[in-house]
Amino acid sequence: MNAFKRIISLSVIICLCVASLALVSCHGRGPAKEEFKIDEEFNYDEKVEITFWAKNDSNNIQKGIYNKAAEDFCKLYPNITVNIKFYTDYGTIYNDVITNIQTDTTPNVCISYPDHIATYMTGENIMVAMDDLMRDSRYGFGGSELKFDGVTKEEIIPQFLGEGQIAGKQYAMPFMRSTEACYVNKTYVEALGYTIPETLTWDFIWEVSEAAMQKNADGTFKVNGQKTMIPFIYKSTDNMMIQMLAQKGAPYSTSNAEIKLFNDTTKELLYEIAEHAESRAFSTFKISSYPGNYFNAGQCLFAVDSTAGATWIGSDAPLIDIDKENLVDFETAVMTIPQFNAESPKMISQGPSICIFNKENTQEVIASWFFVQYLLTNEVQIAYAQTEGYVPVTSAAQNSAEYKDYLSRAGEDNDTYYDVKIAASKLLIDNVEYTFTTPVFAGSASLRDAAGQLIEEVTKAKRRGKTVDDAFIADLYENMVALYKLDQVKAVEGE
Amino acid sequence: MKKFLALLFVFAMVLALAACNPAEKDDSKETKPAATDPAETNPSETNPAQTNPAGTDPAETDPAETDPAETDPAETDPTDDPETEGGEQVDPNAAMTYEEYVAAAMDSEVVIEAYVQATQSWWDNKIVAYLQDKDGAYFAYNMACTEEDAAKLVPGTKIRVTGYKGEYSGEVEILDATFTFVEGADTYIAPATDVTAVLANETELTKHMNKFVSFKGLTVVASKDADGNDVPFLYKWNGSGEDGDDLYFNVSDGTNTYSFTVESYLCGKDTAVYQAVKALKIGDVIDAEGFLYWYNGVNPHITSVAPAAPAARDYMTYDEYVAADMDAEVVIEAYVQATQSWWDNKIVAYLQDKDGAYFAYNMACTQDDAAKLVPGTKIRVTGYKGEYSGEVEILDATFTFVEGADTYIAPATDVTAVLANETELIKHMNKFVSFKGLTVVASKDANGNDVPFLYKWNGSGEDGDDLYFNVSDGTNTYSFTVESYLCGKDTAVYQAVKALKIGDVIDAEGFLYWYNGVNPHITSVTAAE
Repeated sequence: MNAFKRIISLSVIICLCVASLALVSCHGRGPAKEEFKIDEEFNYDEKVEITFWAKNDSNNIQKGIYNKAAEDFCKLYPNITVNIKFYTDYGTIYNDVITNIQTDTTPNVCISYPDHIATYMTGENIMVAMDDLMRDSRYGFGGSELKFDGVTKEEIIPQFLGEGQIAGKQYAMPFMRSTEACYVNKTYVEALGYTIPETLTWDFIWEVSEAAMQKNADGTFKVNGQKTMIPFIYKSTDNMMIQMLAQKGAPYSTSNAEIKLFNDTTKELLYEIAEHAESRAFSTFKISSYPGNYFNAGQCLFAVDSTAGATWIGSDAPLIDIDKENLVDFETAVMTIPQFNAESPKMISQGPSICIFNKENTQEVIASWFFVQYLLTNEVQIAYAQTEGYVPVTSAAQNSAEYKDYLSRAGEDNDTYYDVKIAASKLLIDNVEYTFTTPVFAGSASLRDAAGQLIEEVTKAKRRGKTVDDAFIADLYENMVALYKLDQVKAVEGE
Repeated sequence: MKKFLALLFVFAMVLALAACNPAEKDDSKETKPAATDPAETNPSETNPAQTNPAGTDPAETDPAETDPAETDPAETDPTDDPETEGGEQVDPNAAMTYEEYVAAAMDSEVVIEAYVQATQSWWDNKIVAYLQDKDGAYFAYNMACTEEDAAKLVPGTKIRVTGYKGEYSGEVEILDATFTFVEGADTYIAPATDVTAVLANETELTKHMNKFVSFKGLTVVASKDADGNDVPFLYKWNGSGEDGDDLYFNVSDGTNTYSFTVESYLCGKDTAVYQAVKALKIGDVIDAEGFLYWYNGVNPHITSVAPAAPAARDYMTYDEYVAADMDAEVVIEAYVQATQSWWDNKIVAYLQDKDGAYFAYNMACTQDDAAKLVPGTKIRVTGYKGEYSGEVEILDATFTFVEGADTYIAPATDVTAVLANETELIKHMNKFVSFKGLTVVASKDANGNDVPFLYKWNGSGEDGDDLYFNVSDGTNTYSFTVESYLCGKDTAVYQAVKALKIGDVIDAEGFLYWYNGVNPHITSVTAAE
């Protein structure tokens, strides 16, 4: 079993940089499309076929929900057929979209990150801005001709909706939201003599992680009696760097596509990380594999992963990627990511968004828009949110009796009501005001990759006994700029 | 902070001494603490807490304890009754063996007999001597010595030393010592012990402390001068010195960087080694000899430097590769058995020789070179040893073709009998292997149905994705994979696996990949013979 095949995640980076650069220069094949305008009515008698590229978290229940949504939707709109193609990672979707823009064979509807959508937009009129569609009295939010109880604009959590604005227009519609959580092996942390604070801090994490490196005379680690222990593993080091900088109040980028990542605070953070990489108290997903595997085997005290990865975390996790005989019984605490200032926490807002691709056939675009709205209905939102530590993006779903009932039943079983998963959802709900996103522009995805790669490179270097000093950091900065072509990024103009 | 205060104290002492007696010789020990600030001088990445052989935090070693002003040999009356704290009489004629010396407690009185290998300059009725016998070596610091006797301390001379065992920033030495010549004794010049192989192994290396040792094939790496420029050596530890002062230079064994010193009181500016180090260039590969001194990590006092002799073999054997630490740089030569699809100037290669197999993950490779990586081709791979979910592999690798080499296609090793024995099976990791008579057992598809195989590990894929299928040896069930980048959907094995039925008994071949347990990448499947 290999749920976390890394060849995709590690290898797409350079390809995507090159591909996105090519996209900037090519703008697709053939004449540019006209900007989409909703100036015709939807023809309920014309057969329309749309393609939806969906992302699931290696979670088959999610696929079932997408399939059911498409099926139910097509019952309401018998002239529309929805074909779904499933992906298990955003990077491959991004790669495929960029490839298909060149041949004008993009899907109609697609799950993506806003960072990625900004790159799609470098082709002329590739994407549909949804502002006019949202406002349309017939087909828009709460529109008179919708064949289902659609969501109103006011019912979409404003912060989440705002995160889909690119160059002042609504190119991305939020579908689900998550953040990162620090999953803590409470049993082992307390066994080391520590009390978990109300809010995790970086100092606490580092201190406990170093303490966990103590060994017995036979070479096993004192805390778990095993020969393997990586106390702190971070899955997405791009998020790690972005959040550390945000917590420090340090710059990262601006909405004008100014790259600010390579600053002195970043360097300080890298030195701090390097210290713990050298002692091997800290490692990353790319270097050491999926943190949940170590965590569930009692070989990791602090695993930072998305709240949308909660079903893979903990002794009783419904999804596991290691032999059951390697599972260790312990108590899992779901905490916010470590903070520099516990009084003013900051954490990333992330999760899938939906975008619509422009097509010659306006009917396809309107059908796509109907489907996007359908994905925001309570039935889809609540069902999908329950598959992982996601949070619905609408207040209608969040405030529904069904969803509240779901949240209240944490721990009733290790499946639908798996306590770690529900705790992860609650973590975001309780901390929405502390979440943030980074500016989106063509190249912001590459910048994100570079942010993570800084940590990966420093960690790798220290593990290999190399010197990480000012000269190393200076070279690293230079290499990252070149590797990710960050000297070529530019702000996105509205289509 | 404690360490900083200690260093500050010593620095202040140096200034004070310099101010008091500018004509006096600059005592090397007094200058060392500042000179070897671990934050700046390396052994760059070596955690001082880890490199201290006694396990003592260097910050805990109060420089005041070794203040020459307090340990003036003149104050150590050699005529004092050599009585231990416990009152036990020490036989003045019974010298310790090296093992007894090693076992002796810090600050206890020690008496040893050994042969002079070298001395630093005599000064102020004191001398520093490098001593060794056939069992081990000693560093006698500032031994009381007349100028006349100093002249007699020629290499090979056997002396008897009485003093106190001490430690200074990791260096174990004899302090406050007096000595006598052992009349009528033989002489002994220690041969250089090659410690290159254990240079990165602190535990092993400390066993050779103070010995006359040699190092082979180390690369000179940059030091930073006072202006921040990369230079091949420094006068004094921080570049603040001038010709005639100690020389400091960094060398690398490919994994770690070490600080080497030409101690000017041992080898002055007119010596060959002093001149040779001044002529070094960054990137030079050298052999060196010297005394294995310690200062917050190994910091040998080098006595000779020469261009490295060509190595007979400059890559690892399979056993050496297996023994290498994780994350260590590795260089191997092996034969390509298969590759996954080239993409983005990278390639994944399954490599093997007659001794074992390797998995080179995402090796840098041009498309032209990828086409040349046909099975049997011998390549030389340089990368870092890594482990990912149990799979031991070579990461961040580059390779070159071994010109004029033979070719080798590994026969499949039948591992059926050890499939359930992880300890034995893991010895075959990455090899081309075969399995006989395994039974296809059900996998669960997305709807919970029993199926003979899955597209992707959880059935979420489609035609063209990796295939996963379960097999049983009658006792355990194993997950086998057709890795689509190795064997795509048009290959015979891909089609054969798609045609499997639950209960089929099969033979299979493939590469013994690991993912949280054995998870071979299958390249052929046939009905069991």
